Amino acid sequence: MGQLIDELRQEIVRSFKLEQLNWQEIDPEAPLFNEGLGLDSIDALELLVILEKKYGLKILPAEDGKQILSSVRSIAEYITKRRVEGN
Amino acid sequence: MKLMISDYCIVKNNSVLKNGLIMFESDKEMEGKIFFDLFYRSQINNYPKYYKMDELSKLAFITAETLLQGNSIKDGYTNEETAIVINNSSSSLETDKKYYETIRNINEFFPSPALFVYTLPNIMIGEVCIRNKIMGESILFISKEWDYNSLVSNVESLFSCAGMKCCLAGIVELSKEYYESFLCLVEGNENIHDPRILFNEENLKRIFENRKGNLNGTINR
Repeated sequence: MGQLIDELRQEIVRSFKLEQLNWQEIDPEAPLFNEGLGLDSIDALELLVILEKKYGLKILPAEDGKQILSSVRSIAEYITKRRVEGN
Repeated sequence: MKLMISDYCIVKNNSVLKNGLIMFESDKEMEGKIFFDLFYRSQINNYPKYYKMDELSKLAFITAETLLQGNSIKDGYTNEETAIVINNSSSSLETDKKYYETIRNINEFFPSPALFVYTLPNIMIGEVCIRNKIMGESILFISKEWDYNSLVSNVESLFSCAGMKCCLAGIVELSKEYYESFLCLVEGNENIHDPRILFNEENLKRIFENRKGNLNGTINR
């Protein structure tokens, strides 16, 4: 899980051009939206694209998306869970 | 009412000029996007959302930031009285091409929302408005050649018919081969002896094409 969290943090810095941040400064537990990193709705859509492109995953059901995308750790846990389930 | 140019900013050839004076330049050859980021980090560096912008919006942003530095619009006008009018030739073509790359291959079809939002050239106006809380009229015109006469005419209409009292007006253009931007701060003043430059086609051409303009005592009617 640690490696996946690091990978996600690096991807977030790269994809969202957070050039003022070092990826190691991103707290895996901190909220990604509204506070914390302060990502916006476009970033949320971009995260969905990253999940599908890089990890082959679509969030189902869609209503779970808010919780799944709430932090780096919650995203990592979702990816890990889906991998265990064989998706 | 005569419209006057209070200040202007030109960004071109790896240099940033305000009112004819060099504010920043690089003596090394570099791509526009590298120069924009270099200027931003050196001179602004307080708006993280800058990095999310496409190159066209970055160019508009740094030009407007330099133009308005030390010239807070809020002091003289309300947000709703301030307009922005920009001319452009290549639309958002460079960003359009980048976005197309994310959808070109049917087997690797991953349209990027972050790129998609910039596939409209008037988004650069949105970025400048958000930063400076400009809430008056905003217009983008696309034309093959620079039509200074139309630019002047459009701005004059905003002042006379739409209640605008201040306007950022000019050109922001970016293509693969080159970039250039020219923004003026236009204000109305009934004092014809005002030492600022009259906002007309002749002066716009002179300033932008000759990179010269004396804001002290030069009036061309």
